[in-house]
Amino acid sequence: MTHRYGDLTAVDDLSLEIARGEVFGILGPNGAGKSTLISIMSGMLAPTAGAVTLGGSEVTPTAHAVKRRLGVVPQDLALYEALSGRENLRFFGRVYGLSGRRLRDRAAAVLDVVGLADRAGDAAGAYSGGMKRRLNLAAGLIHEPELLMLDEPTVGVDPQSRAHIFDNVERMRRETGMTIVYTTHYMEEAERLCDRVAIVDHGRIVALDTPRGLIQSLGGGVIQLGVDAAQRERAAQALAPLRSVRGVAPGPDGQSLNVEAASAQHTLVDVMQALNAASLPLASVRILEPNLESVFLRFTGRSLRD
Amino acid sequence: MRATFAITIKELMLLRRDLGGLITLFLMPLMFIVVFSLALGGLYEPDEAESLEVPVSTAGAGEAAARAVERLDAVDGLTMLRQIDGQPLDPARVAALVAAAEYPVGIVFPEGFTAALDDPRLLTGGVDLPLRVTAIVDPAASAPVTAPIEAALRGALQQEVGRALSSAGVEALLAGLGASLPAEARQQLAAMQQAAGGDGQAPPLVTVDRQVPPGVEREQFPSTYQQNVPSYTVLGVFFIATVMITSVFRERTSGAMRRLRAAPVGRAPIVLGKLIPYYLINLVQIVIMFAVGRLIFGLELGSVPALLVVSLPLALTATGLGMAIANLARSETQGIGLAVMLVLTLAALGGSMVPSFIMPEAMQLIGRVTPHAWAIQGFQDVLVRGQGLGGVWLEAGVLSIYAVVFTAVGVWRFRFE
Repeated sequence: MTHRYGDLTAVDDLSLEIARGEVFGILGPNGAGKSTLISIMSGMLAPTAGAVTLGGSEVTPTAHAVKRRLGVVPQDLALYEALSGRENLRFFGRVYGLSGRRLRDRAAAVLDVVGLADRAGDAAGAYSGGMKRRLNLAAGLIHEPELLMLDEPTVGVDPQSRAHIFDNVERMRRETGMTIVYTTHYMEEAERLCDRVAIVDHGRIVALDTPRGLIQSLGGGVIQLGVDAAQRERAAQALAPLRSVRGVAPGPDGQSLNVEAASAQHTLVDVMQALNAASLPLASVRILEPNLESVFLRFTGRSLRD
Repeated sequence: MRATFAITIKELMLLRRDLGGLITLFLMPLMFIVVFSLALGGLYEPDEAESLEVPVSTAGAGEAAARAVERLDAVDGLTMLRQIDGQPLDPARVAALVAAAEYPVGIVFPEGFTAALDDPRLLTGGVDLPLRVTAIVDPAASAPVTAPIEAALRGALQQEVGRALSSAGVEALLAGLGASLPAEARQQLAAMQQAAGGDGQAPPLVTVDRQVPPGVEREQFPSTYQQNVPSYTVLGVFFIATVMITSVFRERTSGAMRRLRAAPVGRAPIVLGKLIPYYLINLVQIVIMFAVGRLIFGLELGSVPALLVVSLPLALTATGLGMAIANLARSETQGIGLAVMLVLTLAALGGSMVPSFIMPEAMQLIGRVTPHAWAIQGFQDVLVRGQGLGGVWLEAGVLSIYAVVFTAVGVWRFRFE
């Protein structure tokens, strides 16, 4: 799918498939196109080109039957602070077509799931930030969606509520087989919760694999070298023949050289010697340990929190 | 429909938790009614100590007219002007003086008035009846000013008719008619004589025709509360727009509107769900305002169904305007600023703050493009002019057009974010 806002292409010919029951992570810096992607996948927005289907049915802003099968937990605390937790849930339940006993039962069940049953009658405005996040999650679960989209659900959350949310996601997956799309800034969340992770930048998927697969793609790690642009080609030629080096590639930021190695620590000595021998000055050296953060940096040239 | 219902219930629950805002909404027009009625009461009620001058033309009308004018002169607070600058007044001059707003009322006796009253054929069909005395009324003058003058005029005329029909007069007439008068006519005369001298009810020999000066549209003029209750009710009803704008922007800012966008519900049910509670509040507000007018100020309501027919589209016009502004404005501050400006400007133009009948004609014409003017006119058709259902369809129709247009703009421009 592609989506443009005037001249800006927010989602650029992006294609992906998510399996039923999968927890799928979307990682990307601010402005990468994550929110637009979630908006299109949840039927809030029609793509400029392309389509999203859920089990063969196209998701569009007017496809209400399909939207009923989707749940969205937006990044904002999309709640009515003057209403109690229970009243909020009953309202969103009614909007999704629930009523009567079923509505009451579902509200009670999700309040229990997110650990707010004892505060259900309090105004949402009186909740702590973490409790509001949990209520936000509960509102997305009220109608038992097949696919739940969680957009940065742990932003600004205390450790207790974060742990609660993690537990909820793992429990939903285990007990209901719900498909979950999870966007986050936090690598440890993606590594812990997601079956697969897509790294999105400039509206495109730049890497897509399991967390383990993405980390393994770094090998033993990456040495990121700050080399003058005019010398980069020479530097790459000097480093490529080294036995401990698996590969050399310009960084996505256009200002660095990424050296993939079996062991970043050991290879660093060889790299320094080779560059000295070739009289190539270095502006900076950074060792990226093999984790998703490094993967993200390697593919986007930016830190996740940029 | 279920989503609309859910949104309506949610909105009512939120409103219930903001009672302070609601109370302000209800109190504001009430305060206007009380304060302005007290402050501007003098506009509608003449100062007792001040004598009202009334130009009068008796040209060719004879002694009976002169006597009636003398009786009017004797009434406290009235001074009859028979001439100005030494020139006796004729009907055209009286009309011109009133049209120029120099005097609220002028009186014109028809030529031959006395001769007709004294004509022996008065009761046998020989004289065109009734004799018409004209009260020329300034449209800018309120009823409490003009009504006592007209009443005094009727009283003076009644006495003159009584004189004509007094025993001596009737005897004179009978003598003039001779024995040819049939017995039935004699009995009729006797009954009329008794009526004129007895309970004071004059037969319709003379009537007072109420006219506005030539070229001025005929209007009826409201009393203080007939003016203020509908005017400030209409003003207050439109202030619902500010509450709606706050609600819409708050829902957008919180992200709840975005969440609704992901829900299986179209924009029309959402807009409807947002409109209905405020529409109901507006109707309750109108009921309370008129109930206060009736119970505290003794306002005669007239046809309640007709008032309802005006109120229903009025309430929707106000909520529709609120929804339209909430979706046209780029921010809450901008929306509220725009709403307050629009509501006050439309109210001023439409006659909510100052009665349109005292505005210059050009301003009255401009005011006709506001829903306020149509609503006030509709209410006053019922309260002042005594109209029923059949008399307010035009106003209700025009208000319905405003309601549909504003609501359609609100739906069309509806934004979730």
